[in-house]
Amino acid sequence: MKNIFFTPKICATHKLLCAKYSAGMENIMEKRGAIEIENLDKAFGENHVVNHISLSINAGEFISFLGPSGCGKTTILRMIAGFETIDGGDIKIDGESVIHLPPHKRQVNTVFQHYALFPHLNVYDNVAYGLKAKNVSKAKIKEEVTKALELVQLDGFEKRMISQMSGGQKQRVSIARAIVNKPPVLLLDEPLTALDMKLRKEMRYELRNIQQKLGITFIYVTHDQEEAMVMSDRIVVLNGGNIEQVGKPKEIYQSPRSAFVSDFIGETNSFDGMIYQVQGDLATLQCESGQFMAKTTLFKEKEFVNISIRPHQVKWKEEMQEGFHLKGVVKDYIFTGSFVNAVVELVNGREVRIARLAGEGLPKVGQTVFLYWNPEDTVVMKNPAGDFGNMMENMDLGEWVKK
Amino acid sequence: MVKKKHMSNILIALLAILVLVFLYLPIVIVIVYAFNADTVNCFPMNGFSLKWFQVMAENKDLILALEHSLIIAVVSTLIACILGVPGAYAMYCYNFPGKELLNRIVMLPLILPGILTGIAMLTFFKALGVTQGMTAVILGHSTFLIATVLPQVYARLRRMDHNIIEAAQDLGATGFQTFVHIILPNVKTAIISSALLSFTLSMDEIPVTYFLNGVFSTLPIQIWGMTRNGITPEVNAISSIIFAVSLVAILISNMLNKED
Ligand SMILES: Nc1ncnc2c1ncn2[C@@H]1O[C@H](COP(=O)(O)OP(=O)(O)O)[C@@H](O)[C@H]1O
Ligand SMILES: [Mg+2]
Repeated sequence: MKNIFFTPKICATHKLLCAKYSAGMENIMEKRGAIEIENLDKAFGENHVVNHISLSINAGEFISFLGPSGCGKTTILRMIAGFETIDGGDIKIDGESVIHLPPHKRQVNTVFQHYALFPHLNVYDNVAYGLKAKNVSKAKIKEEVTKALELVQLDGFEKRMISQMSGGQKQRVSIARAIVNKPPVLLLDEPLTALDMKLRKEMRYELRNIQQKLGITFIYVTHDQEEAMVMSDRIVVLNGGNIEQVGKPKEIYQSPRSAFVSDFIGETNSFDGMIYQVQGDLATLQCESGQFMAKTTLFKEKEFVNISIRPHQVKWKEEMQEGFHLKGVVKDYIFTGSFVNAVVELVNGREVRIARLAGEGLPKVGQTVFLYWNPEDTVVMKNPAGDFGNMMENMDLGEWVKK
Repeated sequence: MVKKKHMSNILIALLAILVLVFLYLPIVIVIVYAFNADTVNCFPMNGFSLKWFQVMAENKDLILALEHSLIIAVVSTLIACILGVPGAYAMYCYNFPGKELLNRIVMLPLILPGILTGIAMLTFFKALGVTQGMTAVILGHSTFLIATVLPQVYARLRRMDHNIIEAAQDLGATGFQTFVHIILPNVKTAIISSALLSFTLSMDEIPVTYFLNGVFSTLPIQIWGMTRNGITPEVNAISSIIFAVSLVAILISNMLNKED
């Protein structure tokens, strides 16, 4: 699963740098950054925000906390970082309880949601701050900051003020500012939400890449299931302060253990298929239900992949679109608030969900439609099944999309 | 329609000019007379001269009073900053009941008539055993100058991104390091601007000083004394200088406040 996260472009520019960077980190790479959360509890007044949760996080793991807004993700992160007191339970980092330590003594660093960069310092001094606060020598600071900035591809921006940086650049600065301290654990609180879609997709790969090269534990908070899916080793699905399920992305995707997980993860249409043809970054894929296009630079012809597309990104027309051969019949409409969910049954019987704003002109139930989408909107993942036989078994994966 | 609007615009502009003239004409006259070659303030002037500035510079009492005023203004501004900035930070960091009320009460010495503050301080200092004199005046000024520093710095802190404090701690900074490296630079302009304002306020303070000074004189009190026998051109000269210095200070203060 791991190798699919590097786009060739990033890999090329990064390989050397990352190798250089991680070479200096060998001493901390001896499996530091394991976290033990035991019976953790937190309430704000009447509001029971975190409900006796327990969780083991392995050293060097990329773990995502996934859940809807307000389910307590940030609060858990803040308790690990030390910004929030805990009402019960314990948090151990590498076997030692940290709950009595103030934030500045904990071996974790945070990438904040809105960057929280120091506006009065330039890029270099922002990144250098953690080392400066620990009285590291000037020469050593320079060396480390240079490496960290190279790692996030911001070398040459040292003298810029924060206000002169774009959103994506600010995000990189905040990552560099955190990792320069070589923490065994990095906490990231929805670090990509402020970025536009295109940049967000790129940054996912870069973050994952950085995590792999540093070999440190990432705890990644997000409400975006797609993000969690493509980045994480394991996902913790949270709901109302409770852990609903912990597992590998595929496990959660394929066997959701509760209706909540199924609903929360299942918002996407997913197809298993084979890459039929690649032209530039556009791939034509073939699956049981037909043929369609997706954008990816990671895969070659004849590779088996899993493609997902969000319900609101699926489009329909009465005629066939070039590159797409997905014929279906409108089966049903489900009205939910300002959205309407269309269920379209494809020729092989599998259903695709399409979300539309209520009030838009909609085809009649029973009408034949051809589905298509912007190839850029798809998420293409390696199909862990691998060979054709397994793939056929996995075909009815689409079944629980119906739920 | 368009014409009507035009007319009303002109009327408003005229009114504004009238108000400005009313406010600033007296000051302009003082400044003009400061450069008068004559001994009496009257038009038309008989020529341009800097002699009143020289007369002023040779007036020993006036210069001594100026020295006193400068010492008082500098020291009490410093005290106001040393107490007001951490005070504002403490108010920012800790929530306690009546915090907003306190923020307003701190401003009282600025709003209350100086004569009231003066009497209150005199009584209070007497009770404490602080005798009238330089120390008493400095203490008195510091007290009401905190009223300019604390609310301004507090307001700036509230506009600051709170997360950068947590970011600093997250990066290993102690509370003290956070204050010095992160908080101070971010409220720097608010501190300088309120310090400049404090300085000018202290320089022309009369009522509070009058109750607390005892035997020595400050610049405004000295000038006030000099004008009892009519306004002399040297008073015009010193007034022009005070005006120029205050103007610059207040302009800088305003500029810094607007900065973010
Ligand atoms: N400092 C606080 N005081 C009171 N309630 C809070 C505080 N921080 C968070 N909450 C509440 O705790 C709940 C969980 O918040 P949070 O952890 O931020 O959720 P998430 O990050 O998953 O969106 C929310 O209902 C929120 O209103
Ligand atoms: Mg949150």
